[in-house]
Amino acid sequence: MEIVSRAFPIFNEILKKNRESKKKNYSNEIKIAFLRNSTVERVIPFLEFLLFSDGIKAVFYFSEYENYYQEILNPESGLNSFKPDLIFVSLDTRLELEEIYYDFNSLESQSVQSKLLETKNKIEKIIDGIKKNHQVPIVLHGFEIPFYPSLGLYDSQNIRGQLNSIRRLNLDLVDFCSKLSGLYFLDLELVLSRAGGPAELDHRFWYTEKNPYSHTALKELAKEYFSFIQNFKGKMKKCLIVDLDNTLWGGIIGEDGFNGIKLGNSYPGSAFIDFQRSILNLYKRGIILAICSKNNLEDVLEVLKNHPDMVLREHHFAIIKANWNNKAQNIRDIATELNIGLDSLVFIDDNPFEVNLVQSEIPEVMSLLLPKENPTNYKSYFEKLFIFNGLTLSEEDKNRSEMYRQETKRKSVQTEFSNVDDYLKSLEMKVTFSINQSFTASRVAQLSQRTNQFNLTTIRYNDEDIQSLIDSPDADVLAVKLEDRFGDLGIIGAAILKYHESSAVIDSLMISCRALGRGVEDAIAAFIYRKVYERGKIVIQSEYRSTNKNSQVKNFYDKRMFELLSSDETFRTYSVQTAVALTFKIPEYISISQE
Amino acid sequence: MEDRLKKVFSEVFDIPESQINDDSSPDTIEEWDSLNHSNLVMALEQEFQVSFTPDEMIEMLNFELIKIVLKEKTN
Repeated sequence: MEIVSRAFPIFNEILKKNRESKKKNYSNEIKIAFLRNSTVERVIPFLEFLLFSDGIKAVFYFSEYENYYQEILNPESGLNSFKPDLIFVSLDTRLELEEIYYDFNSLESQSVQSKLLETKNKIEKIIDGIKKNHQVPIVLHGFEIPFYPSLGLYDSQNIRGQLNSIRRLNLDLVDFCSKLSGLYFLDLELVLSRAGGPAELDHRFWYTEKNPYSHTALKELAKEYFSFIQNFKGKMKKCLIVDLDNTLWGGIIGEDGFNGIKLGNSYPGSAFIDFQRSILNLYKRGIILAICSKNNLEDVLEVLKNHPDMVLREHHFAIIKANWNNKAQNIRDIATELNIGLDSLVFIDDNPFEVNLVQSEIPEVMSLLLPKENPTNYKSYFEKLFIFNGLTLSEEDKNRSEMYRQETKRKSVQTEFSNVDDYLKSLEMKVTFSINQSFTASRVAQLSQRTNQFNLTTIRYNDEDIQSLIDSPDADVLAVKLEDRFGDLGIIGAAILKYHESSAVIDSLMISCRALGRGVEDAIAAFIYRKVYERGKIVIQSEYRSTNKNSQVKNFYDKRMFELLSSDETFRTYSVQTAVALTFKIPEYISISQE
Repeated sequence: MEDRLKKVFSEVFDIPESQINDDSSPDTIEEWDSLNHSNLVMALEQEFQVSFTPDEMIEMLNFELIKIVLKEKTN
């Protein structure tokens, strides 16, 4: 069978497939602009191929080569009338740092420094200019290093040499990007070394077309672009489901026994340890882990709890399915119990039968076959697929798996209660509302990107959008934190209110799936109504915009005092007098506060 | 070889193979701009497992010339 490798077919196949894909309809579109000084167009076939395979159609705009700065400033320019959703700023090193790249040994140290500063200022000015007209994510390319620096070995010894001068400029740009929200850095040095470094320049195309890259390099670059776009589109995978035998350890626990499995400091056990370490890194970054293995649960728990060389332990897994059931069924159950979409799951196994089964029964799940014959490649095989390539890291990410584990505990406690109210009361829930607090901006933006099911309007915002709403006198951004006796769930919901002269509009309302079914949505609604009242607005308006994932909230406002004004298949509008809305009660078993 | 070559042409320029003949060039194929020329070069290199010099790349400006260059390389 074909293992998922995200490999590109031969080039003319790519061109042909892209043409065929272009004729289809896509609900998911993105407009991408390139501000460039070289022929970046050569990367497009590869990027389009990846995007189409993920159901996204892109439209591209390329700036002029020379006059891109005028284009930024002129409101009537091609760039500004294109109205991009995303802008890549790609300045080729050979052109932008021409003297440093080609004539380094003729330059005085002073002029190197001033050239670097000049470039940095120029880029800052470009970004400033873009930000005046566009509130969309910007991805700034770093510069390439010359693989064979002009001062030979000596160059590497010297902090002010050619390599390190360019690297220092790159570091300054990283620093600049990290200080502005909505601005991200693309590490070109890294991307090219993944492609194989110097071999991956194709100088023919530099001198004939003003683009220096081989197809291998262009593919790596396209993958990096694609990862950025997936992040902006909120299409990231959330959960990794792992098999155990010959996946997390060598051998089969049911046959080889606790002392017989291969896991330790020498080959092949050491390869499995390193693979576990990279999975632990995913856990620390907010990827939920689960186990799906054909084994006896007791055998599995024995290893997870007591094997001295295990890196991953029982508490790292939100759900453990160790049984003899069909794996596709187990995986469906995992999605239901975690309350996340099948398309956010990734499943890895060394057994072609299982991978095939899951792939054919649940094609939405990304199923990967590990190269069993060579466990030393597990880690790199997995990393090269660039599946979990998140662009942000919030406090919630670091604790996410732990939170899902608490949730499984909550569910097991639930069975002890005969009625739901008693159970909810026993949770001792505390809901805290943060209003217009900048520290919540990136988490609120993240929720707007990631939340699909409980999301009334599914308007996606980036960090910068949220910050400007926070700063606006005519809007409130509410971040909702939840705690209970099992732990802190962090910010699990958000609402955006926009105010007009005498009315308020609930622009967005979303709640993370793991906080549903416990009355928090009622507390949020009641709190919003009070907030609007405090603002002195007489009427509250709201909307439901249907997507293929949010049907569960179709009647949300109908049940919470609102009157339906208009309704068609995809769009409903509502309204309610604030005075009427205020009679809606906060559930008694939830205590609320504001900060 | 001629058939494979026509297939590549048809895929790069999105035209039916029947419209391709020895005289096909940037003058007769609208899609044959400089960007698609570099796409054509790359597609040919991969299909025929060859590598063109920059001079060859620049000279390969009609179907017949490309056939000649390819024949030299693949023999």
